[in-house]
This record gives sequence, C-alpha cells and structure tokens, in this order.
Amino acid sequence: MRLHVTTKLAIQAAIAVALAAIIGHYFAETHTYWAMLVAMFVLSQSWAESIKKSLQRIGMTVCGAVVGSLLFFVVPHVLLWEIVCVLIATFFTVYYLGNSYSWSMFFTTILVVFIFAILHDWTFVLFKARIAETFVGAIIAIITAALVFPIRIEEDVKQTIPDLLTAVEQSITDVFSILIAQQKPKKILIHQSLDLYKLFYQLREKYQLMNYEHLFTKTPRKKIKKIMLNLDIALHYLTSVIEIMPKLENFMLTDELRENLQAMQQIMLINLSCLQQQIEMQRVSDEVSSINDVLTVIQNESCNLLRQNCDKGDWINFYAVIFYLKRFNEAIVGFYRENV
Amino acid sequence: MLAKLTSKLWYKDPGFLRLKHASKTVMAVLLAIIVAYLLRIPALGVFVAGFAAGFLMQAVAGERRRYQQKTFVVICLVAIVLFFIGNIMQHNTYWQSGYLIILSFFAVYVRRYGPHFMLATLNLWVMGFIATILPGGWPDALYNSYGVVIASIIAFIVFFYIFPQRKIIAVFDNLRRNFNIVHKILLLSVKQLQVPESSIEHDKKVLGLMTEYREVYALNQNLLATLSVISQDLNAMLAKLVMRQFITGKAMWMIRQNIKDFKQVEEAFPQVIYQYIDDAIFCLAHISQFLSHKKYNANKLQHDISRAEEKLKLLQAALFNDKIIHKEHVVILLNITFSMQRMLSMLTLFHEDFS
Repeated sequence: MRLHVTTKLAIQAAIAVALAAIIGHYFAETHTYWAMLVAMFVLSQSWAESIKKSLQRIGMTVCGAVVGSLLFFVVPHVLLWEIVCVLIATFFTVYYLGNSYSWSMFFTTILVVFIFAILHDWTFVLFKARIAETFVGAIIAIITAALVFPIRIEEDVKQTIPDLLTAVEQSITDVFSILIAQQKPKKILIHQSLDLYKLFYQLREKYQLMNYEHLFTKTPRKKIKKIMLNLDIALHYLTSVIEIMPKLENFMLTDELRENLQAMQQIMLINLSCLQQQIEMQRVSDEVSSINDVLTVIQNESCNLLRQNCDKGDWINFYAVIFYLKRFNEAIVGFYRENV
Repeated sequence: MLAKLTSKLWYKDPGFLRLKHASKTVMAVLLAIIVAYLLRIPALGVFVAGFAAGFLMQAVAGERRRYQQKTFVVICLVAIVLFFIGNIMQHNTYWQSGYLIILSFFAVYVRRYGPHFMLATLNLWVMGFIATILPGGWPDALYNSYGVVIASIIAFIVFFYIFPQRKIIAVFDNLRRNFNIVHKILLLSVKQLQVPESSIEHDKKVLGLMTEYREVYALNQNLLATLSVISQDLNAMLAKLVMRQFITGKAMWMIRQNIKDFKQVEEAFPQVIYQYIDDAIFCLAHISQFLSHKKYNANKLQHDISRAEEKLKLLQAALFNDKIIHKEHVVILLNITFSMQRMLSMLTLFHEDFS
C-alpha cells in the first residue's frame, strides 16, 4: 500500500513526539516538553530538510541561550523591563519567521529566557536543560525522518532529472521538426523554454538540499556541482535555440543540409537517451559522441547558402542555432561523463 | 540617516510586510494582555491571552481576505477547544502524551488539504502543547480558555483591520526593483564599452548590483512560497512572472559576460559596431527603466521596443562586415546579439503581462 506523503509525515511527527515523551519519562526529565517541541518543529518535508533545520536549531539555540542569559543579567529584574524584553524578542521572532529560520530561532530562545524570568527565574540549570533538550529533540527528528517512511531528496532528484531530460528531448525533436520538415513553429515552444527553467530551478533547489543528506555519505559534492553546471549550460543554449526558432520560419534548406541535420538530430537524441539510461541505472545501449564532424559539413554547406543570396538575417539565425546546439551537445556529453 | 535606514529596511523587507506583521503581532499581544487584565482574569489567564494572541496572529491561512477570515474563525474555535482539552489533561502524564501524539499526527495530516494550512496547524499544535504544560485543571482551564477567546477576538481585529497585508503587491514591487537594477547594470555596461580598460571599481559595482538582483529574486521566491493564493490561475501567473525574473537575470549576466569577451578583442571590430552595441544596450536600459515605474506610457515603451529591435537588426547585419575576419569574432558578436535579443524578448513579455 502506498501512503500519501502527508500521511507519512504525520506518522513521522507522531512517532517523534512519542519518542521524545518516552525518553523524557524514562530519564525523569522535567523539561521534556522542549524536546517534544523541537522534534515536532524541525521535522520537515524530507530527511535533508530535517537535518538542515536541526543543525540550524541547535546552533541558534546555543547562541540565543548565551545572549539571552547575558541580557538576563544585564536587564534590571523588574517586571516591566522583562515584559519589554519579551515584546522585543517577540517582534524579532515574528520579523524573521518565514524569512530566516536561524534568526527566528535565535530570538525565540531569548523570548523563552524572559518568559521564564517573568514566570519563575532563569537559572544555569534551565540554560543547560534548554540546550540539552533541543539537542535530544533534533536528534530524535533526524533519526525518525531517516527510519520511519524516509523521504529522500536524492530519490526525488532521480525522478526529476528524467522528467527534465524527457522535456529536453521533446524540445530537441520540436526544434528539428521545424528546421528539417519546415513546419511552422509551434506556439507552445516558447512556453517549453519557461517550463524547462522551472523544472531546472526545482531540481537545483533539491540538489542544494541534497548536500545535507550527503553529510553522512561519501558522495563527492564537486561532482554534483559539475553535473548541475553542465545541465545549466545545456539549458541555457537550448532555451536560446527555442527563442530563435520562430525567426527561422522561412529559411530554406538544401537536401544535403537537411540530411546532415537529420544526422545531427540522431546523434543528439542518442546522447540524450544514453544519459537517460545512465541516470535510470539501465545498461547504456550506445556510445555518446560529439557532433563536430557533421557540424563542419553543415557549417560549410551553410556558407554555400550564403553565397546563393539567402537572407542574411535568416542565415545568422540558422548559424546561431547550429552553434548553440553544438554547445548544448557538449554540455550533455559533459554531464554524461561526470555522471559515470 | 533615517532615509538610509528606511531604504536598507525596504531592501530587506519590500513593502515592509514583515515589519508590519511583527509590529501587529506585538500590538495584538499587548492589547490581549491589557484587555484580559481589565477583565480581571487570573494572572495565568492574562499570560495565556498574550501568548495565544501572538500565535494566532501567525495562524492565518490563504491569501484572499474572505477565505482568510472564514478559516481564521474556524482556527480560533479549534484553538479554544484544543487549549481547553489540553489544560484539563494537564495532571495526567499519559493522557497528556497521548493527546500530544494524536495532535501531532493531525496537525501534519491536515496539510493534505493544502500547504497553506501548514503554519496554522503548527500554531494550533503549539496551543494544545502549551495547554498541557501550564497549570490547569478545573476551573483554571476555563479561565485560561477565556484568555484564548479574548486573544482570538483581538488577533482577528488586528490582523484584518489594522494595516492589512497585500503580499501580491510586494511581488510586483520586487519585479520593478529588479528592472531598476537591470537599468543600472545596462548603463554601466554602456560605460564599460566606452572606457579603454575596465576598472576594479566598475566590476565591484556591477557585482554588487548582481547580488542585489539575486537577493530581490530570492525575496520573490520566498513570497511565492508563503503566498498560498487560492486561485490556481493567479498562482500560475505569479510563478510565471517570477520565473521570467530569473531568466531576465540570466540574460543580463550573459550580456555582461559577452561584453567582457568583446572588450578583450575590441581592436578586431570597426567603430560602427561599437555604436550599434551601445545603442542597443541603451534602448534596453530605457525599456527596463520604464518597467521599473508603477505607471508608464505604454506607447512610448512600445516605441522603445521597436527601436531596440531595429538596433539589433543593424547589429545582426554588421556581422557581415568585411573587416571582421575571424570566425571567433563573429561568434562573440553573435553571442552579444542573442543575449540582447533574449533580454528584449523577456522585457517585451513583461510589458505584455503588465499592460
């Protein structure tokens, strides 16, 4: 049975809170509620996000507790002053909420110090308990997110890259159908450019989060960075090609040029499918290759076209498309080689 | 001094959205404490009213005002009930833990009905949670819940009737700020073309503006993530605009890089090409300046777009200039032309959307 992602997260939250309660009960801790609160708050959409939030939470709680304690000794122990501090801390907690988790947590801890100052007193015991319970809660959240219905960003990324590559493949097919078959440019083509960037942007965000998952593995980060760079370059050139296509509506090709373009399309699609197979962990059926040979023929042939008085503006656009497709292919081949 | 501080604050918080919300939260907390105190509720009830007002101020879901108001009333009612139950269970550790475990499950599960409930449910969980750790039992629980009732009424009034928020407006404000940055960078690029050697000062200025662009873009990304507009069309439209903001940034970066390449082999190009590049960039700068204003003359902007297209055509034609011999130089010019075309197409799309 496949559970909905919110159901998985809900079960994670319930188990994390239960674990915090059990641990608190077992060790007869008086401030278990802090661990429960932290466990509930740092549990996020994925394991990577939970790790990120846990680290931020621990770090900023320590800083906040230190600064808050110092302030507690500096500020006169009068109710009015303590209320003013609570209000200032509330202001900054809300100000950073949704914008900077770290700063929000820093001011939350200062807020807690002064709430305790109003209700009872802020002592060194409370200071230690706050830090220790935060640590316990964060560890519980990380362990729960890793073991109970774990949601790994890496798996999500592995699903997103094939989606992106399929969209890229579709765009390449469309571009060549306009170039070779002289079809009118589809209106949707320009939207494809936006969709490709949208997919890429999502992917990049996930990649950034994936770094946290890799804190516990040996996956080389440099390699991932290079893969993303290649993908960025490939998309940059492909979207440039897409934007030029509507201007090539009336560009007439010779038969030889058409044949060579078909060969070029073939190589590019093979390269893309090799990459697709490699990412999906399948056996790669072909070899990736460069399009330089066929490109030289195309460039020479296109120069002949220029001599035959074809429109100069169209020719520039055509030349740019070829140049960008070359760069696109180089980036795809680079991606493949980095990923081996 | 004050103007400098205001502009810095605006830069970090466009539309002063966060500043307003934080001030409103403090106001709600203070009002709730004062009202609860005047109504002679026991001290703990006064405390509960204060903190409940603070949390309820963060528990608004959605973006449309009507929807927010309806859900807020439901959320307040749930908060009162949850607080009462939690406070009653305060004496029994097992009941208390069981209650919190069930509450945790549902607080997360409710997100299935929309991510915009995330903050609201998390705050509800905190209300239930605090209730279990505060001194309670009968009749304290009743007084404490009364504090939550007072907090709900005050949070409702403060949130909806004092400086109401409009996050969508902030998204557009940010877009306009970025057009202003594009305008400045393009003008700096024109300057760079004219001086014989690029200075470190100049590069620093451009890099600073680029960083600013990225930060403003990140602000919009953040706004988009927390916006939770209920209408899908509106959501899609805003997402499209923010995505274009990203592509415009990339196009600007390309123009910068290509001009750097161009400057390295500048002696290979005839003077007329300088002039064409200069004119085209100037037109683009002018268009982005138009778009950076709330109200602009659409006809004048359209005229500038046509002029920019014309200049780019001239630049394209200049690629066949006999004086450009090497293929690499043609490629450099091609890159400049296309990066500018890309920028122009993005600015045109923005103009179409804005008008």
